[in-house]
Amino acid sequence: MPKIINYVECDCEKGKLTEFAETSIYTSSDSKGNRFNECSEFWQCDKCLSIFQRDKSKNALDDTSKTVYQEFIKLTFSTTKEEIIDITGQIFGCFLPMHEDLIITLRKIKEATLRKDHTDLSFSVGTSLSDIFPAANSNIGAVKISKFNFAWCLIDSDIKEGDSIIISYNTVSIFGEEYEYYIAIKR
Amino acid sequence: MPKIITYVECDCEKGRLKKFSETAFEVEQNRIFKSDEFWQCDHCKEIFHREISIDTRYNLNRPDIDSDYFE
Repeated sequence: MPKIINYVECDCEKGKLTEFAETSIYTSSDSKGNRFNECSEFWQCDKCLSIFQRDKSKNALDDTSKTVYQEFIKLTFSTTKEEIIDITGQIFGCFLPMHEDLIITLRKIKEATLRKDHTDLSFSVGTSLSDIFPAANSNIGAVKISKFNFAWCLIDSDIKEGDSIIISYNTVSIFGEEYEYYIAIKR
Repeated sequence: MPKIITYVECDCEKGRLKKFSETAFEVEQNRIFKSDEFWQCDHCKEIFHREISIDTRYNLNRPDIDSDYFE
């Protein structure tokens, strides 16, 4: 029998977005004092690997209210500190574990990385979590690569504060197409 | 920006169904409005039919559609 198909098409028009992480729910209020439960979702394209974020909110006092979704925001690999703080706000560090399929994909990409020649940029993970978002034990996050710029990258799960790591910029060929990305690996 | 895509996949799994016709609403007992929709696959050209009903007794505008049900 025919079935209704729903998916989110990436703006590359070749891939589908899949949700891979979301923040925990937090409560906010507007100027009229209405309270809302909000959280952020993170989605990745299965073709171009772009990452998008969108917020969703629901009236905290009304169980029957509809969930309101904001538009998708594309997260770039070189996002300014202010943008990341604005995006993650008070909620960074609350990521849920990534979807297992994506972790497997990321591991494959990482193996490809280690075999490739690349330009490395070394730095030490700061003593403060402000240097690494959302948290050191997340698989993906933003790492400070210059005074004002952060890079969204894959992060080894065993990286912790004080470790010396390498941020490498790489390209990888997936299904014949080149993609660019950053990865953080332990030195 | 990414957009949400929704379509009805034909059971040939190669085409999408598009609605090409619907009947006027008929009022049945208990003030239930009913109409029929006709959908066609853009690949295998197969035609499907399904019914929509709105129960006006409860002043609900939401049609009662069994979304997976086509004949």
